[in-house]
Amino acid sequence: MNKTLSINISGIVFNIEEDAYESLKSYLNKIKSHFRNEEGCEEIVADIEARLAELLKAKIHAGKQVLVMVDINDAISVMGQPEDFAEASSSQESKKEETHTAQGYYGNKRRRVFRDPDSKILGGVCSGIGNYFDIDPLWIRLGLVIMFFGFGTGLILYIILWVIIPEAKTTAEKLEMRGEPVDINTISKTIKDEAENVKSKARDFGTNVKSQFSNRDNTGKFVDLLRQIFGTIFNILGRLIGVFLVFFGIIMMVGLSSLLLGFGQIDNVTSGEFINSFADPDFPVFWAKFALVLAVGVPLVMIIYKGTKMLLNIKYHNRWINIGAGIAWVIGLCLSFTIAAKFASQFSEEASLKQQSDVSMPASDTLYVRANSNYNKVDADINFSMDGDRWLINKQGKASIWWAKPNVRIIPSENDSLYVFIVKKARGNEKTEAAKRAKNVNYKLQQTDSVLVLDKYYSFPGSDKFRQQEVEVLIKMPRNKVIYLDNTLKYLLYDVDNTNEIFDQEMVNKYWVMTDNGLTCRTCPKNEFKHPVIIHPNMEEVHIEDPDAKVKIDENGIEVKSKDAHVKINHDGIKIDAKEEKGEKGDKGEK
Amino acid sequence: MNTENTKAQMRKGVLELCILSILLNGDAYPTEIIDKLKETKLVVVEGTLYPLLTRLKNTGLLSYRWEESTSGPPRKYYRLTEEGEKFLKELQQSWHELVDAVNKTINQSTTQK
Repeated sequence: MNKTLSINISGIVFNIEEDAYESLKSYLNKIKSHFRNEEGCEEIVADIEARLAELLKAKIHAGKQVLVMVDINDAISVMGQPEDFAEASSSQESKKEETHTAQGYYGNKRRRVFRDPDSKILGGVCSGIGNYFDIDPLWIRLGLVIMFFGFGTGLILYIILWVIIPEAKTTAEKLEMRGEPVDINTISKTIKDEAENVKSKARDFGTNVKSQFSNRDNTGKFVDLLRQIFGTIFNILGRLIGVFLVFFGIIMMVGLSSLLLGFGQIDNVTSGEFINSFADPDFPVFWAKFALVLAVGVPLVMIIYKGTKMLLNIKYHNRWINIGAGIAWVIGLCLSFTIAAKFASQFSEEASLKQQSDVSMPASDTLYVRANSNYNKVDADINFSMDGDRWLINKQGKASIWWAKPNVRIIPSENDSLYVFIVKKARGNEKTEAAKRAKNVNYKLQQTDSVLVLDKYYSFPGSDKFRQQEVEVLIKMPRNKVIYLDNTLKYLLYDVDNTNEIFDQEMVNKYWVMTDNGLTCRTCPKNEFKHPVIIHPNMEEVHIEDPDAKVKIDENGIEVKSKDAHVKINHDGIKIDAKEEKGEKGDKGEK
Repeated sequence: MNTENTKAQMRKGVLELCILSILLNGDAYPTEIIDKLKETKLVVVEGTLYPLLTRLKNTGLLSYRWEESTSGPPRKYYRLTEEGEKFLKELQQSWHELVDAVNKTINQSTTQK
C-alpha cells in the first residue's frame, strides 16, 4: 500500500505516488533554476510542464490510474536533464547574460574544475587544471614534476587534487570544464559582477528592511538575501585566502621536506649535519622525523588541501580526511613531546671544571693580555651562529672538531695576588657525563714575563656532541695593579665591569687600573661623550641626544641648544642667545 | 581541440535553421518538431527545444495559437511569421553559401593530400 497525492500539471489532474511526486518536483525545480536567468523563463517552464503532462497522460489508462516512479523516470528521460540541454540554450544567451545579469556567476556557463579524462596521463588532474586556467597542461605537469623533486611536495599535491577534483564524465561537464576562460579579464569581470551584485542586493536589502516590519512573510526572503550578500563576499575572500594558503603551504612543505631529508640550510650548515651535531648515536632520528612529519607535515597538507578547495571552489567533503588528519596530528604531537623531553634531558645536568693557571703578577706591576690566534676561522668547514655565539666546525672524515671563542672576565682579587682560572663547562644527561665532556674541552694560556697570552679559541671533539660546552677565563686582578688589554681581546671580553662604563669591545687598547670600585681607565681621553651621537646615514645632520643639550649640524650650519643657551653658526654669522649674560658673549660675527 | 565541443557548437548553430525550415512546411507543435529533429539526430532530448522556441517567438520570428488536444493539455501550434519567413530565406541562403564554401575547402584539402 502506498500513499498517493493528487496534483495538477498544466490543468490536468494526476494521482501520483509520494516518491514519484518528490522526484518530479525536484526535477521541475532543477529546470526552473536552470532557466532562471533566461528571458521568458516562466513560459519555457510552462511549456515543459505541458509536455510532461502530455507524456504522463499517455501512461494513464483504465487499468492504471496512478503515476509511479517508472513513469516519471520515462518522462524525464524523454525531456532530458537540464545539463543535457545546456548546449542549445547557453550559446546565444551567453553574450546577453554577460551584460544583463550579475547572476551569471552562478549560471551554467561558469567554468568549473574537472579532471580531463580525454587528455590524461595519470588522473587528468594537470590537463583539467590547464583547462581551467587556459594553460598548456605541459607547464602544470612540469611544475608538479619539479615540485616532486622538491622533496615529494608535487606528489602530495597531486594526490590531494586527484581526490578532490571530480572527473568530467558527461558532455555537459566537459563543456563546463572548458567554459569561459578564467583569466585576468574574466576574473576582474567576475569581481565587478560580484560587486554589482552585492550593491544591488544591498539596495534590495534596504527596501526589504523597510518592508520588513510591515510584511512578516518577507522574513524568509530577507534572510535569503543576507545569505546571498555574505555568500558573494565570502566567495571572493575565500578564493584570495585559498591562493594564500596553497602558496604558504607549499613553501612550508618544501622547507620541511628539505629539513627532513637533511639538505636544508640553516646558516651555512645543512640540516643533516646540524641534527648530527646534536644527536647521540642512540637518538631516535627516524622517530623524530616521523613525529615532525605528523606534527607539522599533516597540518601543512591540510592547509594545502583546504586552500585548493577554496581556490577552485570545490565542494567536496570527506569526514574521514579531517578525522584521520586530526588523529595523525595528535599522535605526532605526543611523539614530538616525548622525543623533545628525552632530548632535553641530555642537557639537564651541568658540570664545570675550574683550573687555576700558573700565572703571577709581573714585577713591573703591569700585566699585558693578548689573544693568540690558535685557529683560523676561514679553515672551518662549517660556520654558524647559535645562541649568540659563533661556532666553527672542522670535519675530519666522520669525526669533527668544534671551535668557539671563550669569554674573558676581569674581577678584583681577594688579596694582593693575581689569579687566573680557566672554567670549562658542559652539560649532559648525568653529572659524570657532563664532567667528562668539560674535561674534553681543550683550552690553554701561557705567561711569558709580563705578557699573558690566551688562546683565541677553545675546542672540543665533535663526538662529544654539542652540550653547551663553554670556556670562561677569569682574571682576578689585585688592587692598584695595571692591566693592558690588547686589541686581540676585542671579541673575548665579556661583561667586564669598569667605572668608565664603556662597552666591553671598547675597552681594548687601553690601560686599566683595578680600584675598589672596579677597573678604571688610565689612558682614556677625559670627558668622553656620555650621550649617544647620532649621525644620519646621509651625513647631512648630526644630533647629540642629551636631554639637556642638542647639537645639530647640517647644511645650514651648526646649532647648539641647551637649557639656558642657544648658539647658531651659519652664513649669517654667529648668534648666541643666553639667559644670563656673563662676560662678553655677544660677539657678532662678520660675513 | 575537443570534438564533442566542436560538434555541440555546430549543432547549436544549425538548430534554429532546422526549426524554422520545419515550420515552413506547415504549423507544428513542439513534439512534432522534435520528432523530425530526432530522426536527423540533431536533438536528443526534448528539453532542448523549449527555450529555443520561446526565444524565436520573443524575437518575432514565430507566432503561436492554442489548439485543444485529446491526449493532454492544449498545445501550442507554432507558425512562421512574415518576418520569420524572410529571416529563414536569408539563413538558408547563407547556409548554402557556407556549405558550398566548406565543401570546397574540405575537398581541396583532401585532394591535396
